[in-house]
Amino acid sequence: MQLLGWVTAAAFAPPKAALEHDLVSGTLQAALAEMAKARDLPIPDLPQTPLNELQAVYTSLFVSNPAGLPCPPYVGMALDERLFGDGFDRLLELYREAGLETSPDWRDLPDHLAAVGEAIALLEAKPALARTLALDYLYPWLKRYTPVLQEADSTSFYSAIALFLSQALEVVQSETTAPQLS
Amino acid sequence: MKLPRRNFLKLSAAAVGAVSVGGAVTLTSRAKAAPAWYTKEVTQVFQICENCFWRCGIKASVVGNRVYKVDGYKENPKSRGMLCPRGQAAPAQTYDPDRLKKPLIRIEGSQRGDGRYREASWEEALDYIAKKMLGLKEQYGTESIAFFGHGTGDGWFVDFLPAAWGSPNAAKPSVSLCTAPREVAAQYTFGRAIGGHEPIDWPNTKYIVLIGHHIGEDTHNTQLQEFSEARKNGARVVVVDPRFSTAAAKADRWLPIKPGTDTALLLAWIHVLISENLYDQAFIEKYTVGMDQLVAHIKPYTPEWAEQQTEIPAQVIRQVAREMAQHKPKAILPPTRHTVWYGNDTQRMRASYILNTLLGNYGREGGFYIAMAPYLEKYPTPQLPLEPAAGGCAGPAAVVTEPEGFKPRADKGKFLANTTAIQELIEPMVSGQPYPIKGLFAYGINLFHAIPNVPRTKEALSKLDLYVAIDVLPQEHVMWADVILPEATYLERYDDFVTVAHKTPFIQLRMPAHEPLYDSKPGWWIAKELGKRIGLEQFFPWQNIEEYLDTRMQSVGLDLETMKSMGTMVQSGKPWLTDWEKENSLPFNTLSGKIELYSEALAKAGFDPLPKYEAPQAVPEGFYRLLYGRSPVHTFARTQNNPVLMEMESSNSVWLNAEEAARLGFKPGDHAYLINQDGVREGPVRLKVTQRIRKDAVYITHGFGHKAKGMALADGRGASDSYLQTRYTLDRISGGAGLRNNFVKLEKAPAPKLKSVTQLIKERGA
Repeated sequence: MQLLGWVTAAAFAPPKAALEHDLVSGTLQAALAEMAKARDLPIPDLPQTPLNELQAVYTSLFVSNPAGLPCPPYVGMALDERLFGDGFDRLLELYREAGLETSPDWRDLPDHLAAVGEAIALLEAKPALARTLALDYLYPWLKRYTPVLQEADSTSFYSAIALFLSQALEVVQSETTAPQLS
Repeated sequence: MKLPRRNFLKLSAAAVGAVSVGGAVTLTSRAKAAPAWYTKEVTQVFQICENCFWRCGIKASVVGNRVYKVDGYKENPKSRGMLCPRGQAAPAQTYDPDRLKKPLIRIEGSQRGDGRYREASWEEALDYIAKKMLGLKEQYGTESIAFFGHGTGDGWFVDFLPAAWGSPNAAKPSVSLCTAPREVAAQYTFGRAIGGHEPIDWPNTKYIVLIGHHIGEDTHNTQLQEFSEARKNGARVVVVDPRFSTAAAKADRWLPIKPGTDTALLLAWIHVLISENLYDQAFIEKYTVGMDQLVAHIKPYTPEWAEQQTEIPAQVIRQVAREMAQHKPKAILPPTRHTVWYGNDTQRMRASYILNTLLGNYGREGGFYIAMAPYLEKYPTPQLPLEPAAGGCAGPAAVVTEPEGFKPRADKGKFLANTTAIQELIEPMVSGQPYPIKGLFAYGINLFHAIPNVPRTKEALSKLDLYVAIDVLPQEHVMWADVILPEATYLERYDDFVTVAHKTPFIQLRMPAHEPLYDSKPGWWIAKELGKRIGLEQFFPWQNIEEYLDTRMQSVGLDLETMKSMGTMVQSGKPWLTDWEKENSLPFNTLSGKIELYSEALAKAGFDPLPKYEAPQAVPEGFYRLLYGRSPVHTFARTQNNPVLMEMESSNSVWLNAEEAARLGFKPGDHAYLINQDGVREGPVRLKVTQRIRKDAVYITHGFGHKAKGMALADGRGASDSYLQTRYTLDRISGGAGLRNNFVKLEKAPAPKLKSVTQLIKERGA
């Protein structure tokens, strides 16, 4: 679950030098391969997209788009169909109980995909809580917006990762015995 | 396999310990409902509403990073403890999912208007802008960058920054597209501004004549409260309007005037007061100059002559004039804000002020009170190279001569007033004459829904070397910019103090209710950081905004901390002439020191010293004059993405006279395209078939007809009056753009296939 969190954080954070490094070094591709192997999934083949193109596409998908933002990157949008709804408040409670808070340098909402991904990764020692975050908060977003990404993502980078994460979480869900509470 | 941390989150020390020992957090926490906001610790901070430009003092109720409620407070003379629904709905903007969230830079090689951007850091965005600005300065001079703005924070970008930078080409739509004629006329008549908080002693007046006034439709809080008091106190109301407006519905008499003939009516009323000796002779003798010239001038303007122009019966004109006189000095014709109608608007407003003066109501109870600005010193800075040139709601700037070393403003010479006219600064971007404007900052102004002739504005934008938009929402014009800077919303920022000229002058504080969401920044910060990068650091000597505000507050014997507990500081004024006479002075800052019925200054400048009537442009065959106005639910084009307000009013409709509708084969609820004299088409827009408008005009409320898909609720609803205003007539005195010389015809249209606002709110997650 920790690797799934790191992949989510790395892929859905604003694309900068860190992502470029992960791509050029093959770290992200290797992480996906490891996850795929563990869950018996096909390895997604990430496209070779230049950073500047990823930045443009990321902005149009997740930040601002004159034609309307196709994929607001906030899990609350899938949980509540709005920002700052009950799901958002529940997430903050969950962060609080886990001792997590957003860094002052993080200039976005705490329910951004990248933040949720990192939270999943940081809760390595609390696997049940990490699983809750992944299944009850991240997965609803992936389920709702992966089809949108497949339509709107001209690079296929984000849609490929979103589809893979969805598939990985479906495996996790099938393995888990705990009842889903939300 | 491990990817590097991104550090968006951190673990508290206690939690790190808990994690390290493997303490399990129970799963029940995820299902627990968060407690209701009002059960938590609620803090209240003093704020200023930004959902219209009345700018009421409010208190925001805050929990964490969320404002849950705003209310007026009694100590604030704007709200007096009350707030309109529009103000109540305003916090929704802060939590609008369509908000601009990050600085954006247009993708290199993309065209303006394509909307292709990449996210940038503030440092990168500001460095980019600074480099471009310095390049333009080198090539074309500082004057080649224009600064447009609208809103409480615009002072940083339209007054301070351009004055420090050295550009006289700074402008606000609130001047030449709104108040310029009434303010310039007031200066030439009374030597004083009218100002943003119109100084009318509503509660004590007994006879009110409203000419094309927005009251009841612009929802200016205190004004409505006081208008209601006036009615309750027995004031009679006459409404002059081609349309049976909201105010007309409350009036004793509605005069459905032929559009564009208001000056004829005013002159006829002046004629009656003078010819029947009904004016306040003592007042005229004591406080005015030019009565002899006025008496001679007014002779031809009889009610019978005016009837031919206005289509209001002469007998009614006489009767209303006599009723005004019976109630003088507690009879008044309050000036409305938006006075840029036909291009001869300063003279119309002069006629109105002359009529008011004949009623003896200036500086007297039941008439105009004398508004004074509160005392508050500026933050000490080195002398700015230029004086701010943009003016504001309170009228033109005081710039008469430009210092040596700078070009005069690019619209100088087109009109008389000493301020800029925003629409006249577009042309130099297109033609390069009298010199090129190659850069533009747009702060909070909607360029396509404020400035007439949108095709020209788009052409101008396409020719710029630098276009920076500072805004909150991805409005159509914003998505043309080279760099988009997301400003924190009003609830998330300090602004400079709002000082209000008033019967009791006052100072209002806006302080942030919580940290800015996303990567947005307050305007003061943006201006200062940009200033540092373009060599203007010495003009921004304050450490931060708190220190800036505290220093200013010290000049009136308070400090910021005390102000934070007050919200508003009220000072004493001198609202009546008697207050001034006790000090052996008069308030009139004219050349003569008195109210100038005859304006020597206008005569010297080559304009009519007394108002004359000019007939309006005729309505072309098959067309209607396009009238426009305000909705009580929305403010200009700024609020159409607000879910609360859009659920109340999701579109405008076009008012069409019922007989005309029948003639054209329209039924109530039909839809139509509006097509103007230049072939520009707007709509489809729903028809309001009504007896409440004359046959020669149609009417729509301003602000709808957005073409910005990034604003999910606003996009594609209704028709835009601004897009239909491809022509305007320049007022050669004030610089105002007369907008009512545009004409439309109607064509049947299918009903638009739009999702309901409720559905959209659900889908987009508002």
